[in-house]
Amino acid sequence: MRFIKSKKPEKIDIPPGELVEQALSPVLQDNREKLRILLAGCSDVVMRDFMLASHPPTPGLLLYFDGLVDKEQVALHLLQPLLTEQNTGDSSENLSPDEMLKRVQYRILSISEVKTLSNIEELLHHISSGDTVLLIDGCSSGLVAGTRSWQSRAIQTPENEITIYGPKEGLSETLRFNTALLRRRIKSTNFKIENMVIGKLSKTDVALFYIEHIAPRPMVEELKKRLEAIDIDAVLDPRYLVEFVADEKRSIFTQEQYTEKPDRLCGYLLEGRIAVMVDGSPMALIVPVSFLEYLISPEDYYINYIAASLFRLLRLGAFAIALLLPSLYVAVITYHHEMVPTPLLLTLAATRQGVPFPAFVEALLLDLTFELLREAGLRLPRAVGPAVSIVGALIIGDAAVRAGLVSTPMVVIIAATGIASFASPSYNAGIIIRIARFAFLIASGLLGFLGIMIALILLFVRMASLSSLGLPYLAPLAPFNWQQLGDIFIRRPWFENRKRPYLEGMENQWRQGKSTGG
Amino acid sequence: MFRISHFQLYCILLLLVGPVAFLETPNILIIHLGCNAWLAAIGTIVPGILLAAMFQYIIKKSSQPFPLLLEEHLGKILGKFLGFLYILAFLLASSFTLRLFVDFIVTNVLPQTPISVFIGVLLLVGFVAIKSGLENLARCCELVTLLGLPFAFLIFLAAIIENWNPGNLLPFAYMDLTSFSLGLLSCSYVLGKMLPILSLAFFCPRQEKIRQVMFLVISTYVALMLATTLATLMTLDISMSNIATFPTFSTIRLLHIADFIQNIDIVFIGIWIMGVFGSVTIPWFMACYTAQQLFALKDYRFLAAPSSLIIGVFSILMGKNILELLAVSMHIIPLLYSFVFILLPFLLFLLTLFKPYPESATLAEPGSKAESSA
Amino acid sequence: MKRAFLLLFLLLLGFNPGCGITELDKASIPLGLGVDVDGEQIVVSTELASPISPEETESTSDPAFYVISGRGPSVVEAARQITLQIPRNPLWSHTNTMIIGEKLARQDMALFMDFLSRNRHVRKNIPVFVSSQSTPEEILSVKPPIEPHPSIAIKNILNLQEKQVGIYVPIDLKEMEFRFLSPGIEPLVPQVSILESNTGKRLCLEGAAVFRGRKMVGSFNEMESRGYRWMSPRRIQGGLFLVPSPLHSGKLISLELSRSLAQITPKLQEGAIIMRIEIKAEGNFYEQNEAGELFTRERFQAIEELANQEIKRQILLSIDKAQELNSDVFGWGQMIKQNYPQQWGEMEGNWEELFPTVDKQIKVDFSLRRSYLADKSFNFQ
Repeated sequence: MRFIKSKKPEKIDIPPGELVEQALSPVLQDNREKLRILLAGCSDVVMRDFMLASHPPTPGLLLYFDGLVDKEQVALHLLQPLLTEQNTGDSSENLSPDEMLKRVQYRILSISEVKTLSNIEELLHHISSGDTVLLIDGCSSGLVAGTRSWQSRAIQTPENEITIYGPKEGLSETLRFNTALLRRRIKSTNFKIENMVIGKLSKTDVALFYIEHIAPRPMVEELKKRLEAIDIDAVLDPRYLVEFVADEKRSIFTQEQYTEKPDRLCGYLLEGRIAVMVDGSPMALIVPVSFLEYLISPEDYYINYIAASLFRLLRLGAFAIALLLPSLYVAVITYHHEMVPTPLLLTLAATRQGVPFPAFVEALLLDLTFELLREAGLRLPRAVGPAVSIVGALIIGDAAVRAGLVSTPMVVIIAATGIASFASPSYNAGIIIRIARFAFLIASGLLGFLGIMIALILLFVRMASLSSLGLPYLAPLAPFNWQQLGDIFIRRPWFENRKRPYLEGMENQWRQGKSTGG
Repeated sequence: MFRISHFQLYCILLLLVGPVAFLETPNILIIHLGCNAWLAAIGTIVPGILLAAMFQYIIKKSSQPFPLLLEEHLGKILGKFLGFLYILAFLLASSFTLRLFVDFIVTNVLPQTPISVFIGVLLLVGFVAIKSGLENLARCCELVTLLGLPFAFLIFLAAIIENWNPGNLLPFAYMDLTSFSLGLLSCSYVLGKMLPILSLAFFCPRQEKIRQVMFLVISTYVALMLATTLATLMTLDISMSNIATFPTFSTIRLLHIADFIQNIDIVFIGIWIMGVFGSVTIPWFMACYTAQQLFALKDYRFLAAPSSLIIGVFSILMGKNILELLAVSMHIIPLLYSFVFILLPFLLFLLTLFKPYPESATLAEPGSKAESSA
Repeated sequence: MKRAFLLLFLLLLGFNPGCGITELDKASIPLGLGVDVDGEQIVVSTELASPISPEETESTSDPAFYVISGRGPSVVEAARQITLQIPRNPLWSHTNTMIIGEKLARQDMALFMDFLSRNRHVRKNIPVFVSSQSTPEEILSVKPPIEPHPSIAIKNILNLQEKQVGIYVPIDLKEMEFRFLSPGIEPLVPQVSILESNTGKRLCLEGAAVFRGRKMVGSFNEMESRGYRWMSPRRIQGGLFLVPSPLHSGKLISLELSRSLAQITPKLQEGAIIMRIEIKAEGNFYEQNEAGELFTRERFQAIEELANQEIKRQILLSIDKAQELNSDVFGWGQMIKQNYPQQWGEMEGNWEELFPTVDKQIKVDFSLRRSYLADKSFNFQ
């Protein structure tokens, strides 16, 4: 700071930090100078001086960031009317600067969004968001014209949430497009989109979506309070926010859901959840969610409910397999051989001949290898990906068995576990399971089945103690609610799904019937 | 101020009475009554309901939850003394359950592992649970019950069906009154462990439904005892269950479903551990809670660590060998439980008979000093 | 803090790893267990299976199993002696079959029963046999046809004959233990012997050992075992029996049993004990080895009548033998106890004297139902 001050011997020697907080001065030249200091080094800023076509011509300044504005619009609807408009009425000479500004705002500019601003901070925020600012000599306030337009990704199908039926649109990086996608789905005015700005440097637009009377008021307030308390330089993704607002911050059990699908997001909103979106990220953050909701795939609601229920049960099974299969296998073949039918045990014993590691270590190594392959496969260029998975799965797996490093059944077990872990519709849940699986494996190596059970109790204790914005993490299993469980492990048909899952403080629980609101 | 739901209360109470009884009671019943043991199991419903009515009455007549209601009815000194006694009793109950369980595991599953490992592991789990508070404990109990109860019934149903042998239940009602009342006693004293309801009821939203909750607990308990006793009788008959250390477990060992599901005893033990976790942790929690209320401490959570040591030491010192332990479980524990959990509340009940109802119809929240935050 | 605590615990556990661990490549799998006596010593033999590799076929020259015996003054000692001869830890819980040597059975079962009731490894739902004119070691060494393991072969033979022929009633360790422990019922255990033929040795079920008190006192032959089977308290399904043909004297026809249920009720009349045995059975016509029309109303009835007599004869044979050996294998004492608990109190002490005097009333009701694919006799023209 001091360094900058000494380098600037100009008229203004106020540090930029204070400069920002100042109000606009009526003297254009003054403002110009201040802005020049503040925007020094920003090569993409455009400052266009012009003379307003009034009597007499008044100097003016147009300010925008190149690339963020629609230049055509600026030229046609801002600059052109300002330069050419002779709409001066009868006694234009007598107009006070403020009246002049009003006239420009209401009668000259042909841009839909125009509003006034009066301080430099606001000005900077607007131009960096892609608006164009118009300053006129003599006026102590300026005008902002909404000219935002920039290159962005088109609306595409989200790659990570693939469904066969149902809407295909995905959210994109531009917040405004996303609000449009959502507003198009929920047309009620009760659907609120509240904006806030987080990030001292990034000044990121963060939007809070909820449906009034359905989303519990206290929950919305609490979330807002927590968001407002965040003090960070930049926010690039909702994940930045989650770690501030979660109920239990130090935990691998993520207490939120992400989605890129607007239809899924709306589904959550209609259950009274709150969504948070950050400009620049297509991921929408949804809170509160309970762990069991990770079992639900959005597609469940687009297919026959009986089939969907069966798929959910299948996924529940896959969930259990992904979590427990390797540890159960290790427990059974090292501690509880009596559970294996004799003929199977004879074959298992044969396959383990000559394997140098204990079953526990074998499982651990193979599982780690699997995780490694998966991690590597994730980062690989698309063209190389399949090649690596083939190398990993076929060559390493087969060769390891042939070399006697691992036994065949163990490969089968780990492969089954891997497949089961991909069946989880939520990436979050997948991560939790992958980590917990290793804990279970260690527990089973130490105490066999008893170890698994003890680890399971610990898992229960830990998970039951969590909550997501006040919603118990294991709801509706603990605290138990039979009525709501009907839409977790199975999918209830819509005609029976008359109530929303209950959230504390929810005003309107009815989806159907006369008291349906929203 | 947190609340526990009625279902949570049901689960907590069931876990208090169920898991231990499940291992021991059929054994004791068969020793006393032979093939008519199941009659005593059914009969338990009568003393059970009386007991529940007694607890309900005490709750109605009191304005404060359990350790404080002692002071309310008995005066400060006697109340404090009894409260202290209850802390000890809860700790003892917890450590006895722990020890019985650990001995069971070591007998049947992992004979080489020293018992201190199991005691340590279970105490750790309980410690974590208590640290996270009653609300969380209640949720864990729910999970455990949801998982364990259907499984237990399923197993015993399978055992009964597989070894269907009603002849083992004959001769019907051929028993003398003494042994029947002994059996009845040994089956129903366990229900005295429902005593924590005197505290927990005050955390429930609607007190009127507590009667139903207790009744449900008693019927589940009776059904469970009935199923276990019947399964044991049909599978093992009297003579074999008399020589078995843990007849219930021997029954499960013999189960053989569909030719390839065999020897599932370890799965059963695994599920059962969860129940034992409840049985150990809830009295332990009660001990901490009572201590906190009694000495007007700010929180009960920090008591979890010191009390875990006490329980650990208690349970190791409880008995030298399995014979001593079985003697403790057959003679000392019933006496202790009946005295602390049935007789004392009964005296309290007699006392409250002559007391007016507390002023407010709806019961007060547990004292302001009761709970810092949920 | 909590985390540190947890880690500490895991570390403590880590110092104590592998209690009770047996890796499969360090384990051997005993399929059969035999116990016998040799003089003062107890001999425990076991059949250890070699692991079966799923890839290789029978090309390897390794035998499918090894029979190893150990001897010592007690069962456990003898069993532990086995470990001196094998490099791998045996997983006793996989024992499929238990064979008791005839010598031991005749000497004293107390040598063995306590071990059985206490042992946590050997499962009690496995079938038990008594060897006949051979030792368990010899039986376990016989290589059976098709099935690679003799222990599993005997078990399968037993289960198969129960459905197909219907002679011997399987008994598992638990049932045997129960019968030894309870008053008024004694075990009857199928016997297995070695059949020598010119193609080699075969295993064969032959007879059933009758116990009384602590030892084996005799055995039932095939007919007596069949008689016993009719009276078994559970519903029996399957089995074959022969009755004389009503048309041709000296010729036999085969009937297949589809189900049969025995109802045995004790009656106490003027000091005498009468067992009322009612058998309701159903079966199908299976074969006749003579031509001639059997399928008429009268002849059906005649066959049923003959079947009744045959069943009754078998039952009587069985009861006579049991009474002769004075061993209550039918569990009549138990039945009296269940129905007349008071009188049983007096009888229990001298049941051994009362049992041979028990009277029986036998009523058999066999109905012939179907005749499979042909409803006329095969008629040569």
